[in-house]
Amino acid sequence: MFIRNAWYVIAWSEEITREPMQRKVLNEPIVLYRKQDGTPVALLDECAHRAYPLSAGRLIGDNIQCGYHGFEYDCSGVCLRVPAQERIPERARVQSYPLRESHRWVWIWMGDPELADSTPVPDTHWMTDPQWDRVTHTRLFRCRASLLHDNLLDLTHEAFLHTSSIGDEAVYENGITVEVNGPNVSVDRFMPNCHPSPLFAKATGEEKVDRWHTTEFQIPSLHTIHAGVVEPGGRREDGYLLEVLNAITPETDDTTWYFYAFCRNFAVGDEKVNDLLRTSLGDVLTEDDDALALQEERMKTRPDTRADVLIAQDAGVAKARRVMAKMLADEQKAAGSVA
Amino acid sequence: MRLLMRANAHRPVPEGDGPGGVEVASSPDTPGRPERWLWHMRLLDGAPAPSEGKVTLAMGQGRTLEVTVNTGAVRADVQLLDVTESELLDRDEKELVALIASESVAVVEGRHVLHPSDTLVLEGDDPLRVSVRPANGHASVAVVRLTSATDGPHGMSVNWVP
Repeated sequence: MFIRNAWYVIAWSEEITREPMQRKVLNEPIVLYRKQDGTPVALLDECAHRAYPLSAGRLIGDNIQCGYHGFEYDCSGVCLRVPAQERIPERARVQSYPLRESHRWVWIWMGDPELADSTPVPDTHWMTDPQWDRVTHTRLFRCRASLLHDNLLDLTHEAFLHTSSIGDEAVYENGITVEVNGPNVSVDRFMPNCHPSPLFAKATGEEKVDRWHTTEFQIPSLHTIHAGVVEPGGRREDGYLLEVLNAITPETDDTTWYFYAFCRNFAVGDEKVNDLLRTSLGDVLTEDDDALALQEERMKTRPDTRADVLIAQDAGVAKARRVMAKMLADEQKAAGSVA
Repeated sequence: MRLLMRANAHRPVPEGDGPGGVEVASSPDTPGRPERWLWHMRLLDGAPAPSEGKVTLAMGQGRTLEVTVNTGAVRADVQLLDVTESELLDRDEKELVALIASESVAVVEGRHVLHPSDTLVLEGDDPLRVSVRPANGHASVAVVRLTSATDGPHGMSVNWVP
């Protein structure tokens, strides 16, 4: 079960074109394309006639035509034409989904469309701000989404999974501040007077710094990690700053889309630094994917009587799980009331 | 560790479980976990009936802070701290301390701003000392101290994650 009344990233802007593309999110196949004026469209990728994927069809103007028997739908999902007859059956329509395009990401709302208008998409302006540079990745992780949320809310794993790049003992030797504010959970760690992580040392040339990272989880779909280093005793805002955006979108019950953007306010325009970060951070994501795939395999067969043993560092994980469970229960209750 | 829970994150006290109100912190945090229940802290609308294992404190505006503990494992002490200037508050490494802002705004460690009902839980080896001061003139903060009911050097630490 997934929280549906929320914005989830479904694609990069550049992925959606005048050629229909298919992507599955929250267990549902979605067809994406652009109207002639560039507005993106999302429909259920399943013709109402005989379930043929509309993504295997073609566009006619702003409409999409099924490639099997030619049913033609407009961008709100209404069937406008059935080639083999004049009458259009009442049930010949497919679901359409609200989309928002913002700073290179396209967000989809899978729940009650009336709630979408009053909910803004999260702030990701660093993705297009010219004062910042960024490297990006897109991965399909072989695990359920909750394992990624746990991974991002407890960064002590960096010291063990990512030893050659972003992690070292400073991460688990320093305590955390967890803050729960409505539907947002943040986990902050300050690591004073230490070495930068190996990757940060290569990218900045610094040797002794104050470090910090704060994972801010806007439940259920975006973790923004505000991070950086500064000379010991310096002000955070004067340091080398990072905004690492991790958009987590369930594909199925045990696979997850991971849209990643590592944004920095230093070495802007430096392609050598971009290449270093792109390669190293790609390796980080591979290390996480491999680890979480193993974890997923174990969790599939673990009996319910063997629940996780939590430690103090899991406070953010525990709180986020609790908030998500409540959001899901409230959503299901509201849906039951309407039914 | 510091665990800061804003007032809008507290969950309602289950129906039928005494006067209405919110639960600000508990251990374990999620009902139904295999770990044994150790304690919970609630802000109630009105005064609960006294019983063993409960300590209460009037918090103003008709609300009561109720701290309930598993008496075989945990002891509780609750006091109201009135501050008009910065004061230092110490805790033992094995002691869990919760600061719950009453009717006014307090600032802890110069950076955590606690509005009424915001709760800051401190545990583990950091921090062992914090400053508490009013944001404007005066602040009242409930200070809850949870310690092990097992005496001596083998007494356990009291933590939010059990």
